[in-house]
Amino acid sequence: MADGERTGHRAAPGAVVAVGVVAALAVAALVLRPEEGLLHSGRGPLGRMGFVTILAAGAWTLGVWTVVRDLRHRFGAGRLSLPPREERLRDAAARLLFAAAGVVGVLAVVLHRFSTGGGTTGAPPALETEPAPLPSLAVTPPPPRPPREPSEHSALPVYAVLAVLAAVVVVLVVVAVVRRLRRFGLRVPQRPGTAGAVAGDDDARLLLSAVDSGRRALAGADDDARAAVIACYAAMEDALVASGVPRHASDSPADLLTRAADAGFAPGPAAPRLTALFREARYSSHPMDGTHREAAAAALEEIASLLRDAGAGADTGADTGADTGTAPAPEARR
Amino acid sequence: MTTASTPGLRTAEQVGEQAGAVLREIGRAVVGKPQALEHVMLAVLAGGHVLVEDLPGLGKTLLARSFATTLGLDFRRIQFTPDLLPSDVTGTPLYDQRTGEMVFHPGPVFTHLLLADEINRTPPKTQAALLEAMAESQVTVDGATRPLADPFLVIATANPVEYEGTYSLPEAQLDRFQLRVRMGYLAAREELAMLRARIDRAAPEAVLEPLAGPDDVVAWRAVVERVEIDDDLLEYAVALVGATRDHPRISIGASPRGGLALVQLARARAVLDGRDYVVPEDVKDLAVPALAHRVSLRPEMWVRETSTDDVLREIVDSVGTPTTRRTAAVPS
Repeated sequence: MADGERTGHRAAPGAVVAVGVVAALAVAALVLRPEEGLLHSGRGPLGRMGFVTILAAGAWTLGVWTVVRDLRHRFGAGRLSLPPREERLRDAAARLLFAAAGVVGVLAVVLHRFSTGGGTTGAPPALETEPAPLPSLAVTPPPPRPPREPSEHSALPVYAVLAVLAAVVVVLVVVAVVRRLRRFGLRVPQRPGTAGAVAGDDDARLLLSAVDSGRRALAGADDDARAAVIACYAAMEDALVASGVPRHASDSPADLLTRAADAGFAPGPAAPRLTALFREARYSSHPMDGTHREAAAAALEEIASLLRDAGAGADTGADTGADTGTAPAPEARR
Repeated sequence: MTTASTPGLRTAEQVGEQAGAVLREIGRAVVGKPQALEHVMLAVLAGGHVLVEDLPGLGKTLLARSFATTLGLDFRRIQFTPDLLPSDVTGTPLYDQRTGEMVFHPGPVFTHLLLADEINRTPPKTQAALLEAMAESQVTVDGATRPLADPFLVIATANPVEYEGTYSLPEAQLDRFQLRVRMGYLAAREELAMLRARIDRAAPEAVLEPLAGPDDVVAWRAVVERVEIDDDLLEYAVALVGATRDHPRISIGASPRGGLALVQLARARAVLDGRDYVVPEDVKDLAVPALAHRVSLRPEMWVRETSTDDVLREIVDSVGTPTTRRTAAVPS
């Protein structure tokens, strides 16, 4: 369908993704690697602040999740044009890259050594003067240490790991639920506020514009009832899209109608009636006269009224739920 | 047996009502399979043959027998086995001692509705005996061509799981079937209703009433031939068929016969819905059953357990339907 547009997901620019990945890798390196060398197992410059490590790991995981979500579209976009063998290699590489990137965030927390009580002195440990803890040193008697030395290099607390993992799981579950709701056409309740009011105004304006275009087509097609009926249906399509019903190029009229009904935008008999009129006008050579045209116009007005009521109800709910004190725009109240 | 309407002068709306009544009657015996029943009825209207592919015990034979009874058609059944010969299908000339002549004894193919049960259990030679009958509604034996009954409909069943002692249908044979129907398991509630109905009627099967006859079926097909289809919808059907030939997971796409079958089934669906014109839903909803059995996947897709139905659904979801507004003006 030429006038149907896919609601594609806008992917992040490649440069932004690249910079983000490099920055995240740098943070992970700061968290994981010590200053002293590759074979040293001491803390890094951020090691004295355990929460930084946890936050960095969490941010890394979320960042990876976002990037994966964006890149999946790109990987999936060219799939049809690849031979099966290259497609398999591509799938394997994508999964490996995505999994490895996600594991880094978890390992950053698990492998990090947290300091649990040495922050009072503020002095960094004298790692430069002490030899690296090689395995051979375990045989020789250890040198005398200050009493708080063992607690400085204690392992990661279990509760911290569990907390981070629980947070990650909660985030993933929320994201999955939201995506599933959107896939089934349900609308996630939005926070009332200025942005929501502006979006509501835009939707109302688009809706009225679509209905007006249908009215204009009716007025301008005095001698062509077929064109008038088709214009009414096109106006209904535009109005439904303006109300948030997605439209795809492969949609049949029944698909759009079903999706609109599922989303609660076509509760009455007007939409099926107008769709049936459209099918007859568009795909048959039956003679169309004024009765068809009037029926289509009446159905369009009924649909517009229903959509306006639905929009007004949503705006009213948003206004009463919000305590921002901002009044709705005039277009939204219409 | 036949309806009161005069054959040949019926409207699409009348035929839709009659066919709907037949479907409701068959639905008393074949429970919970409205889509499978509708697809078989579409093949009846469109003049095609049906391949019912599914596991044993799902009602494939019952479905065929129910259609034969309710449509008032002469019914024969062939149980295909590895030792079945082509002459067992088409018939054979036998020597008549009284007249001293060779007399042709027609085989089970000379009927209105032929149930070819487990067609993939017989060798390709016998399967091929059905080719001419299905494609041209005639049989040639000993150089003599004999027309088959009108209407002639083959409902073939195949079990897709068993491989021992089976012979997969070649592509040429598959292409002869207008559409493939899958039965599938019943939902728990429907299965419970089926068991309850069996206990209540105290008989193995429901007794169905004949609601039509061979003349009615011929008249219905004449109505289908008068159904109009917009050029944009023809282009849509061509785009769907063409997409099967360009898809990277498909090695052999649908044949032009597939496009013909899709369009004819769409017209039949319009009649079943009481319309004399085709709408995009008719084409879109029938693309998978009409085309999926006509394509061959690349061998590596078998390892991935990708089915042709899945690939066809992907194609249907990617090919655009005709635009809302006409591209060419049509007078009112």
